[in-house]
Amino acid sequence: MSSGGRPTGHWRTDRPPYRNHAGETAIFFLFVLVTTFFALFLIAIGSIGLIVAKVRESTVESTRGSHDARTRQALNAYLFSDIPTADPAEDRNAFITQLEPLLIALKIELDIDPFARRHARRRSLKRVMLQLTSEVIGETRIRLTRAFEYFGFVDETVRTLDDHRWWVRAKGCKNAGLMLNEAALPHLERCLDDENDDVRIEAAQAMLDIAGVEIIAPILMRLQGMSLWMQVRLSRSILRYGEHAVEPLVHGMRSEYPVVQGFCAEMLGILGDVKAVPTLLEYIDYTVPEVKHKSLVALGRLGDDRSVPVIKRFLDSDDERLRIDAARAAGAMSSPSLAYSLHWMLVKDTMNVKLAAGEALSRSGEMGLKSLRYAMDLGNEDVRKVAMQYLHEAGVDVHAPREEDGGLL
Amino acid sequence: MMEFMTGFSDSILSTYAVFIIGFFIFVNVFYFSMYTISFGAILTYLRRHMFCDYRVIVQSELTPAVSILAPAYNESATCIESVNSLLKLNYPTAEVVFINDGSKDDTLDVVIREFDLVRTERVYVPVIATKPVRGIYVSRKPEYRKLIVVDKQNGGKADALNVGINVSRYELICAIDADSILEDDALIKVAKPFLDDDRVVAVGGIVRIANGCKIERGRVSEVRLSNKLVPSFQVIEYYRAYLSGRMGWGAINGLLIISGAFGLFKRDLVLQVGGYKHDTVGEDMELVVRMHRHCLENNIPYRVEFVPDPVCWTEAPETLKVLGRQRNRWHRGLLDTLLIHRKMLFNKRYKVLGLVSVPYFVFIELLGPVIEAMGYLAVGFGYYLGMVNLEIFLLFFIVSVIYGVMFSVSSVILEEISFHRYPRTRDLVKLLVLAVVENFGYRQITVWWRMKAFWDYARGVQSWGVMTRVGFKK
Amino acid sequence: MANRILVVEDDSNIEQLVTFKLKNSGFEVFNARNGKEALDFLQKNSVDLVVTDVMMPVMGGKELVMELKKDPKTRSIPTVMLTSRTLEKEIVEGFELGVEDYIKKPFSPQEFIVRIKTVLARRKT
Repeated sequence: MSSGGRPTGHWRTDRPPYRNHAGETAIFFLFVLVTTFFALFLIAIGSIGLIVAKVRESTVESTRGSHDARTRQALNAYLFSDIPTADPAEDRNAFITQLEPLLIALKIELDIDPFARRHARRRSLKRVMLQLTSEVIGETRIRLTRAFEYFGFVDETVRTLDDHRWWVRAKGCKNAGLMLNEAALPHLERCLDDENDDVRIEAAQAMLDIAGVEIIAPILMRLQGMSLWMQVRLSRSILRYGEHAVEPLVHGMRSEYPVVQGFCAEMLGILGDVKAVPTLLEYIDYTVPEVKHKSLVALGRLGDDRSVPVIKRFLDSDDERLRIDAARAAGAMSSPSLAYSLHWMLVKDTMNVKLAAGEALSRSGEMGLKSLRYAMDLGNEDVRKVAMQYLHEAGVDVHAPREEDGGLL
Repeated sequence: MMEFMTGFSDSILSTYAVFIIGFFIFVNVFYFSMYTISFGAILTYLRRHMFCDYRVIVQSELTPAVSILAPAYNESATCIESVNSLLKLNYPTAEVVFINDGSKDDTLDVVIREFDLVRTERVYVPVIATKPVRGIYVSRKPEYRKLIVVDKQNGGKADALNVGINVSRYELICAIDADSILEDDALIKVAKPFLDDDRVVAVGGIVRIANGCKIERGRVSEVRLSNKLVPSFQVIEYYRAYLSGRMGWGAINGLLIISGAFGLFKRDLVLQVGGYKHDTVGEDMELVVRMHRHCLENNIPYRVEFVPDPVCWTEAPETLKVLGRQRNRWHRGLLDTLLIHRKMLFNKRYKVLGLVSVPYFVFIELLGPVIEAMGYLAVGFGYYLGMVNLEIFLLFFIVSVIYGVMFSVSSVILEEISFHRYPRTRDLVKLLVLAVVENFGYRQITVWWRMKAFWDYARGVQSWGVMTRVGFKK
Repeated sequence: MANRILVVEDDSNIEQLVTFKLKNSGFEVFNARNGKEALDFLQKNSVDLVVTDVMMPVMGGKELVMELKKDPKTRSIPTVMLTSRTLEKEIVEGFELGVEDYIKKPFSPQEFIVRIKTVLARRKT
């Protein structure tokens, strides 16, 4: 943390018998001078820059504020004035035609300003409208969407998608999504291949916002990978569609990228629609362990009897992790035919699998509890401990004295 | 004879002077490039930040679950508040593992009473070997279902953390100091790199100094600079270390230290490398270095990141005496870790780490104080012999001070334009003034503490040796 | 006489939007930037309904409602919460505090007005 070498000495140059230091001294002086000026220069630049930035920020903020206040007033008149056909669901085109005079009024309001200020007002309009998109829904939202198109903000935004700075592209994708204009879709689709993850995510998100559930499958097939962050972001929108998202996700299982497959499997599990079971079973044998893992978790969540044979097969897998996943899924099935295998795993398998099997048994009803009880009485030290833990967690008093042949069972 | 003496010492001193000046230039060039990298990294971070809505992470089921490890030793006074504040952190799936490291006071009883705990039959699987566990407790109340309390035999902080790692069930583990305060969103922000890139194995977060801040209900409610001098100096030191140091190291994947007060790790990898080492004072740094090493030696692609924004507040020492002890311990930890992993120094196999990070820590962080102290000694000696030209010495001193000021001021500026945590302008002005003042006295004291650490380390090794020999005789 | 409504909101976008819409529907509207200002205002004036945001600096919506329910003078004023938090827990908590209605952001301004009118009508009967 220290900046290292601190002061040191230099040596008198008037000692003729030993060496003449005049040259070195000159160099040293030069070094001192140059570095000092350099450092002072940097400090000065930094401090001045800081102050200038602060002052500028505050003035920009205040002019922005005054612009925005005026813009909002003009905009409110457009957004909330009553018009004859107030229901856009009936006839969207009629509704939009009726907005026209209001838009013209708003445009005139903006055009009163002198030229230089008109730019600032335009930016202000865009800013305020973008902010409002996240606050309103319904009829007002359609008016906003129309206004974005009318004032040419959509074209302006689409042009930024080719910028060389990633954050400008990402921002463009985000704004395009907020403007809800289908004209942006092909441009956004191009951004799905962007080199920057944030741009890809914003593009996919925007496409979902604009086109809704129909676009899920095309996006999934187009993606060449998904970061966890992208999965988190997209899952939010996809889950909102509920059962309508099942079919596109089933389609997405066909992606050649395991990450995308895994994502689909996970989502299908969360959605909890048993329609997904056949697809999950179909793919589980032809894919990488990571997707198998996610499919098993999903199958466990779905809890459909059709998956029992597959889960049973995975209980014998060579991969410890998959055995654990299968055991967990088996616990959710509460199928008696799985209980026998689980019991066997509890007795013979590794500690991690024992724990998973124990937990699964504790959830498998009477049969499972009986098996745990048996293991607790007859198993070795580890088996007993695991059995005790899960009996205890299932609410059985493991220390209570028992009548012969288990009053419990 | 006298002439021979002076001639001899003159030549030694002038060689040393050249060495010092060279070292000085090298260090400052190095700092300057590090600062530039940090600046770029912070800029990128801020830009990415614009596209990150943390609420999405909080509400998602896909967010990796975190086990928070809170080791405690004799903390009956503060443990309830700290557990409560951990339970309230914003995170979708998290458990709090509170480890009572065989406290001599009533820490365990206090916790049991407050949270209505009952003993469970949970199996303790010592994946990492630890001191025995005496019991695992969970709460009867549903609102505390995220809490797990482990009671164990005393074995030190590293051992307690290892028990926590064994007990924890989730894929990420977060080690925190019992006396630090996390901000509500800290955990989400530090988890974000794990979402961005699946190669990430560890993430460190920034630690800030809470002295002087207003703290209400276990939360920092108003950020202020302390009125006392010692904590305020540390604020600047922390800025330099975190914002212009670790940020840059994180950017080039050469981050060697993740503060024990706040770090997030992949549990799998921690288990693979064997958890914390319990016979070192710098267990937090040692673990990170070992994780680096493990990944590099096994060709596992990995990243260790630093996030400048999640905030963990910590109480800094207010007196020089306590601070001295802390710095002494840190330096011994650094020395110990670097000695354990000395093999990595200038080893091409360890890439950035072997060629840049480790040499930096050895020559600048570790030996820097020694070189600096020897500089002071040389000046004193030379002046005594009448060989040091006072003007030149002063000039050099001024240059080095200006450089010190420059890096401190830049760090303050960096923080001011990026995160802007101190809302009061007078705090900012005070920080800028202190950035100059600290060069006269404070820095020299820290050099002395760190010098002393070498001596204490050597003595520590010796006394340990004596102890074993006694044991051997028996 | 027009119904008097106090809008407590720190975000000027929503504040202006809500105010505009309410005024358009014939209400008399007052504004406060946070819970504290709202309480100060209510010390001196009476209103028929309070619309409040949840997340605000200085004093949030929840605290404001708690304070309102404590004071016998203001206890009977119906409150409507405007929130972006959609967590069920939050909403239940709000209703337990005695909040009359919850409106989630993003909201439809038309629906908002209808809800406000319903709350006021319910209060009258």
